[in-house]
Amino acid sequence: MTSYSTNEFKPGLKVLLEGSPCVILEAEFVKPGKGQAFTRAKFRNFITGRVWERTLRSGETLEAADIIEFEVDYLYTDGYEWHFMRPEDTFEQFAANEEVVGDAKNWLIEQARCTVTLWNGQPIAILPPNFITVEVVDTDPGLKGDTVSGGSKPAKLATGATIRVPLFINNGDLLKVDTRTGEYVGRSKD
Amino acid sequence: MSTSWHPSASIDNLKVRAQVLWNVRKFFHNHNVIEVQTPLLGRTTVTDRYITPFEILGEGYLQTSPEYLLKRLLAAGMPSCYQLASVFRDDESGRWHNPEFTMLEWYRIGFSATDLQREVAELVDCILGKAEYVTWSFDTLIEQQLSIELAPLNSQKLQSILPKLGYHGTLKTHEVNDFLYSQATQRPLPPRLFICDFPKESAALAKTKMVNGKVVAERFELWVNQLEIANGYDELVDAAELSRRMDRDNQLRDDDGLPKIAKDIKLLAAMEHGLPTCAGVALGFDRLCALKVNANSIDEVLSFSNARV
Repeated sequence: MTSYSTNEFKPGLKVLLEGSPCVILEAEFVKPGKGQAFTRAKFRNFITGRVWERTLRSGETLEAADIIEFEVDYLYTDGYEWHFMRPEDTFEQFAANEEVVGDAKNWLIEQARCTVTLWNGQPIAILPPNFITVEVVDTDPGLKGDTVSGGSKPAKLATGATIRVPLFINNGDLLKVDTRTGEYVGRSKD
Repeated sequence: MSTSWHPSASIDNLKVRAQVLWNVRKFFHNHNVIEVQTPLLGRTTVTDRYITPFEILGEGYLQTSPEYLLKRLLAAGMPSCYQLASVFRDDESGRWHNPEFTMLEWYRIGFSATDLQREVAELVDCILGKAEYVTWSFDTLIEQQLSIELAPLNSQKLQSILPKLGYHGTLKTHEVNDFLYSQATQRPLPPRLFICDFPKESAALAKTKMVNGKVVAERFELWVNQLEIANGYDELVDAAELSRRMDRDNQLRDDDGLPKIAKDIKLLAAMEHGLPTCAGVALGFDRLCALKVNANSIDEVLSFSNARV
């Protein structure tokens, strides 16, 4: 099993920290005084997306994490699993359960180009595209011409998610949504 | 390792560095402190648990600091003196570390640690411009920066504190202070800060004294803009005590599976002959230059960093 010593730490290195696969975001060697040296590092956990700050004694090692990331297209869900296909060369298919898909399921529309993270060959995270164009399926009737009052109302999207939208939006409108914040960006002209 | 042939520092920074070298030498000339040169290749090395020297097979070690040789000079009658030269420490590289760096080390006969602190401040003012200096004890630093009470700091309390500070492993008793110090000094500090009264375990070659019923080391460090630049001692002159500390160092090395380092008997003999009462300090010359040019890493003031050699 490959492992990395703190003096090999650098951004982008994928390691196992406390049992979870993480990527190193930054690492700094610190040795104040005349004592033990430490490496202070920031890790992003692939599963939760959370950033962990940890200090390790200099010379400690972490096991390498077998992590691969690549792009996939979303196909469909059968309610239990979400199915994806690797485009072009392989057309290999992957299924991910609800736990793995997480909040991404709110933003999955057919053919959406997502990023899948595999750990030891198993999918552990799905990252939807930053922006999607999606249809409104349920909202109160739009207030015609009200494009300036700044008010908002809930709207249910075809993906199942409910977001806040301006008052002039109607059922059937196509919206551009930022999946990272879950916010309405604008009406799509497509 | 970089494949670039270019220097790490800009030519402009190297010009500033030359000016700082010149000003430091002028400073000591004006203060009647004479420049000495000692061999960088030594037969023996330090016993410190956390310093890893480069070993030259069949010859000895590259100097990790000129301390032992300068003290032998002082014992032989050398007046107050300084050395400005490369030192070498294996396993130390990072944003502010390079395995070979330039150390400015000087000894002042008859000075106390406080006298020497004043002179360090005067030198730093001369290079970086005048500013206010604040002095905190080690305990004050930890308690204020980390909002914890050191007394009593038992193992149960530590168990709850360490994870909050981002450490999830186990630390040996003597490593706890190092860890707390490394955390406390990462948080915003006064721009020029002396830290004094270190725990007795990190006395190294400093005398100890009693402060409020607690034995502390007569040692100080200077931090400028979050960067540790100097480490000074009221020098230990007791050969027997130094010998005991070297034994303790070797015990720590042995506990961690590191080879023991032979005690430097020539240093001990010189101290038995008599080291005059003095204070000494080592200052990271590269870091001083880095502060002068507002650099973001030590590489910006090194002609060729280790990765560029």
